[in-house]
This record gives sequence, C-alpha cells and structure tokens, in this order.
Amino acid sequence: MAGNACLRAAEAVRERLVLAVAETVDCPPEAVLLKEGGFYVAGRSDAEVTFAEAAAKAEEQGGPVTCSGSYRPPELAANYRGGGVGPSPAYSFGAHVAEVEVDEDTGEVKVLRLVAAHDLGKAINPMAAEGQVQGAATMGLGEALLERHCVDRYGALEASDFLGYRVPTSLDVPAVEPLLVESMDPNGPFGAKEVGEGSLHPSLPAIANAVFDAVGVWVDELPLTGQALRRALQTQGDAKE
Amino acid sequence: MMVLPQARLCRPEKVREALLLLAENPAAHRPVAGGTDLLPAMKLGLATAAQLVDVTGIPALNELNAAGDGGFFVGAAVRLADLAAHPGIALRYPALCEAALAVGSPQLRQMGSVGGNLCLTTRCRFYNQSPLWRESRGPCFKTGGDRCHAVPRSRRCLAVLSADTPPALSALGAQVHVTCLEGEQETETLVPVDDLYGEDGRVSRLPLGALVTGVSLPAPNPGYRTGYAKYRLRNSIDFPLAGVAAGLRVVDGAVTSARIILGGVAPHLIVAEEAAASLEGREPSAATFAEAASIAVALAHPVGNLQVPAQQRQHVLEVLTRRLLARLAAGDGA
Repeated sequence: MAGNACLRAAEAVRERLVLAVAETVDCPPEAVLLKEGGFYVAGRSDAEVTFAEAAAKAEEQGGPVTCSGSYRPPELAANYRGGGVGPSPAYSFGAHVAEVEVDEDTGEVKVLRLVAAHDLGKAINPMAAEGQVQGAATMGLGEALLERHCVDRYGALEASDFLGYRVPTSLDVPAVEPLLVESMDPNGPFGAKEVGEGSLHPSLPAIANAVFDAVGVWVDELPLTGQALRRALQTQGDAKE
Repeated sequence: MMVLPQARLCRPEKVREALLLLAENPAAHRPVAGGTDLLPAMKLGLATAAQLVDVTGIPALNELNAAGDGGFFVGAAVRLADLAAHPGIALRYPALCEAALAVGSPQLRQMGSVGGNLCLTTRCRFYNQSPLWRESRGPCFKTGGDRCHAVPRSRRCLAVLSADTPPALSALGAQVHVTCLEGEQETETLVPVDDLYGEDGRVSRLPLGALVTGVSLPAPNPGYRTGYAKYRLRNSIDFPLAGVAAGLRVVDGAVTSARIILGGVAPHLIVAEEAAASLEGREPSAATFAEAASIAVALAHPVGNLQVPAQQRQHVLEVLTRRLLARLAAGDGA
C-alpha cells in the first residue's frame, strides 16, 4: 500500500522535473526522456540536462520539489476475521525451515540454522530485501525463544529494560539464509508486495515444529522456555509410554 | 532516569592516594574501574556517589604476573578481557579464564575489571529497576525498606551474587587483597574469596572506605583440573541464572581432591564441601558425579528473584555441575 503511494508521489516529482527540463531546452514535455542521472531529448545532443540542473530549475519555478501521493486499497472481498487489520491489494507468503538442537536435560533450545523463503512480489532492491527477511526472521526467533512480555499485578512490566526483555543479539542468531521468491504482483508497485515483518511469522511455528521433530513433544506457549519444554517432556513423554 | 548524576571524578596514581580520597567521606566516595556495574546503578538511582575514585591509573592495580611462590597476582583494575586473554591464566587457571569469558558481552569485558566483578552488587528483578517501577511496590530491604518482594516471609535480602569470577576464584583457592587505612596506617588483609560475601544480599562485607587491590592465586596443584559452567538465556550477554565452578584431581583412577562452588543462586557463594568429599577416593563415573551434583545442589535454595523460575535454575545447576565434573574427569581444564 505504502509502495503504491510512494510510486505516485515519485511520478508527481518526475512530472515536475520533466516540465522544468522541457522549459530549459524548449521542447514539449512529451519529448523529454529519462536516463541514469538525468534527462535528454531524442535526436538533440544539445538537450542533455542533469538531475541536479533539472531539480534547480524546478525549484526556481515552484519551490522545493516535494510531492505527495496516495493510494486507497480495494474494498475487502469478504468480511472475515482479521480482514480489517490491514486491507491490502496483495499479501506476502513465507515458508521457513529451522534446524534446532535441544538439550533434553535442561530444556534449552538452540537454533542452528534458519532458512527463510519470502514471496515478496518483486525484489526492487534485492540486497535490502534480503536484510529485511533476515531481520524479520531474527525477530521471530526472539519471540519464539526469548522475549517474554508479562505485566504483574502492580501493573509493572516484569521485563522493563533490554537486559530483562531479551532480544537476541547478533551472537545469539545463526546465519539466517534468505530466499527471495518473486511473483510479480499485478497490483503492487513494479510488481512488489511487501518485505517488512511478513517474514517474522513463519519462524515461530518453524522453530516449534523443529523442536517437536527433535524430541517429539509439543509446547503450545511462547516463548518456548526451558522450563516449559522440560514440563512437556515430563508430561507428554509419560503419556506416550 | 537514565541520566548519570553528577559526581566528581579523580584519578589517583597510588593506592594510598586512593584510600585517602575514599576516607574523606567513605559513604559517598566510591572506587570505580570500568564502571559497568556502578554507573548503570547510579543512573537507576540505586547507587549514589559524590566522588568517583577511578583506580585504573594505579600501576599496582594493573599488574598481572607470576608471583614468586609459583602462583599469580591479578590486580583489581585488570580488565576481564585481558585476564581471559593472558596465556598464563588460560593454561594454569582454566576455571578463571572460562569465568572471565562468561561475564557479560565482549564490550563489558573490555571495560569491566576483576575487582569490579568481585564487588558486583547483588541483583534481583525487584531491585534492578527504574525508580518509577520500584515505586509501585515500595522499598525492599535493599532499598531501605523492611521487606523482601521476592519472598515476603524473608527476614533479609535475598538478592543474588551475580558475578562469574568469584566461584572460579574460590575453586582455585584465591585470596583477595583488601587494603584499608587505619589512622594514617595503610593495612592490607588477605581474605579468602568465600568470606567476601555475607548472608544478606543487602550489604557487602567489605568495610566502607576499603579498596580491593588484587587477587592472589596459589600455585596450581599438579593434575588439579578446574572449570566453570554458567546458565543464562543468551550466551552473548546475560548475568548468570546459576553458575558452578569445580576443581577435580584424579590419580590412578580415583578422585584425590575435589571442590565444588555454586554461584548465582544465593547472596553468597555456596561451598559444597560434602559433595566434594563424596567424590574423594571414588572412581570418576557418571553415577558418582550425578550423586555429588545432587548433594551440592541441595544446598542451593534459589528463590523467584530472577526472571527464570527458581526450580528451573536449581535443576539446570544440577545438570551443569554433573557435566562440569565429567568434563574435568575427561581431561579438559588441565
């Protein structure tokens, strides 16, 4: 959604610059073409204008080159639970695979590897998009194993600072391997969907599933603490026998 | 709240100068090295100081070298990172090296000192909070009140000794150099590490105005292997939820001497003498170590004053103790 609004704002900026160039080189605006770093007019070698020159001219004409754009998402197709949270023309999808090591004596879980595939439409800036996926998966890892948000009966947060509210540091996170899956969405800007926090959600079930795969018990609470896992190993382990 | 209150900073170059500066007003003048414990406490209003006496410029406190008796002297201002990186320490006193490396994060070890870790204030999840947070419950023993928020029936403060090096230093039989002024006279006493911490988490046993100047490690016993194990949720930074240091000597398939020290579960160190004695003369085996670990950990009575339940801390401590003994018997930590 924000991407489409940005795109429209950028188009408006381009429009103002093109008009400035057209006046500078004296040609109709339709004849002004864009290239890396500036503008030109087909067949006229004297009509090259750099981006900086065009911006200066546009500013001269109408003040700072600031434009805005807006976008209104389509109506919801149906009224469903959660549908009102974020109406959007397109939704991203993700699939994560986690490899974990579980210490059955202490209940400690260590994530050894996290592979995060994310369907983001079009990767406009692939390197930045990979960083987003890694960051989101790391947030997911923190939610899955460490971050606990409790308010006591006095209304005070149990973990009121970042020593108590444990966010994983770079040393607590394995190499997160991002996989960008492009699907060219028809409604997104240049076919893009999103690469914000969408990649957070699959980490949690992926880690819980990996723990189940490793030791055969389910923990249905987050964060997945050592004490919760030991309790599950005791109760569910007994039930299996 | 997170602004450091104003304090004068002075940088003496001699122990005597430092002691005189502290003696001017023992309650309000405090020694500081890396400041990794004291400065955050000052920001949270948990500690006050009108004058900080920075001891890092005193050459005697930066010494880290072999002593004449085959032992080692570690100055109080020696940084934990430098201690851990010293080849003589890693080779001869592995427990201390492991414990120093287990403190905080790389940044904290670059600033934090040996003396600072020894004098670390006890910690509790009801104490290490902002003034606003603490106001919701009112003061506890450690903040001048008359109750313990973690254990309401308790008659004393149960805040936890959260330093990693003291258990290791105790397993190694280290003595702490404590220097005081008596009148004009400078006196130095040697205090075994175990005696440094009292039953009450509220107060330190060190007299006001005293300065920890260093630690003496005795010459290592041939064949006595030592190590340290720590329980924490993030291996990158956290304080211990429980910690254990141990020493073990095995000769001809039998344990000849052992020492087990628990940290992070009480306001003081727990020297598990009976557990260590149970090992002596016996063949090292999984069963013997499990038994010793269970005897040792029975002495620990952690309470719900850290963010992980006491029962889990106690349980993990037993697992770590058992594993540490097995690791030492297998030949690591020589």
